[in-house]
Amino acid sequence: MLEFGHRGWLLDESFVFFDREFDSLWVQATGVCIQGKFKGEQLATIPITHTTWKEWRTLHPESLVLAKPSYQVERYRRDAYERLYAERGTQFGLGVFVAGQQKLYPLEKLKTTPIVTDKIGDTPVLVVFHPPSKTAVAFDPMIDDRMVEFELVEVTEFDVILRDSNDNTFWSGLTGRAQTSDDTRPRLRQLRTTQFVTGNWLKHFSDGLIYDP
Amino acid sequence: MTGKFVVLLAFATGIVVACIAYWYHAAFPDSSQATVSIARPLPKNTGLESDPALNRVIHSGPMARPRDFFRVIERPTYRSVHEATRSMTDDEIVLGLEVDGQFRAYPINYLNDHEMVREEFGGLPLQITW
Repeated sequence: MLEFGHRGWLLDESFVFFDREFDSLWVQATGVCIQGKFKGEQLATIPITHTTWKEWRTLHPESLVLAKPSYQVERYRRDAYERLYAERGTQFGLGVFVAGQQKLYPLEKLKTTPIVTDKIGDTPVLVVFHPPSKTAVAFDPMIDDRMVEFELVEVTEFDVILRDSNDNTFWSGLTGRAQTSDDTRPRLRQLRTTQFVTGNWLKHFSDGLIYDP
Repeated sequence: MTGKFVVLLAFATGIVVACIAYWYHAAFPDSSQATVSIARPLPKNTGLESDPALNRVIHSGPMARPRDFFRVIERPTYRSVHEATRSMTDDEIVLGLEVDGQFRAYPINYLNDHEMVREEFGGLPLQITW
């Protein structure tokens, strides 16, 4: 297992970190090693959700939350990035990664269509956007080899409610859970995503796709 | 699911790598678009000069930073939602993840100065980056 550190090096506006043992260099945006022993290797990633505190604790009240570290390196910069992005008018998208391919869904495009059923290559994806909290997530819409066709019911304060048009069950679009009393119902599998500055997408994924309905 | 994926990756590459839950935020206040003014070329003899693609690696900040300028959070501690809510604001951004039925949230206000958290859930090593 590698242990990583970071001293502020950058490549195309992504930070570049090193592993302590071999001092090889890795790009955060892609997880790819660009120099050293592991050159060309790529780290695996897991799904992560970029959202507000209120949204997260409502969806997952059982969650634990990182406590403020006891060693404080600098003063904590509250909302430093948000202010900067607002000043610059930075645009974001949800980068979705499936089967060796990646596609960016600009949040601007998702605002008007909170659910998007799409394909990346041959792989079906369901992208869900919750405008009030600016939360975007993506799921594999296949359950038991059946492609579930969802339609939008409504955007509520904390969720995007979907309906399976086949059996009329209701689903939480942000957790991928069916809203039934039957706990055995499978959940949708969340896909690996990352929120990405739209203008930097192609710098890091030269073969990356961009959703443009 | 994730565990399988990581195991597969380890086999495929022949090495055991940390699984990184990366969250890409391109514009760092002290870098990105500000690179023109405050980012500088790397110090010489880093081994990067010989590769044209790597010439673009730069370091940020007013002066060369020590190797561990960003102190990685290595032994994270957690609070319950109830405890955390007292000191957090509703609109604060968090990175949320679920591993093996366990949910964790990482407030970016803490990550801003550390950039990375090292963690392990059920044998799955994770590096949370911001």
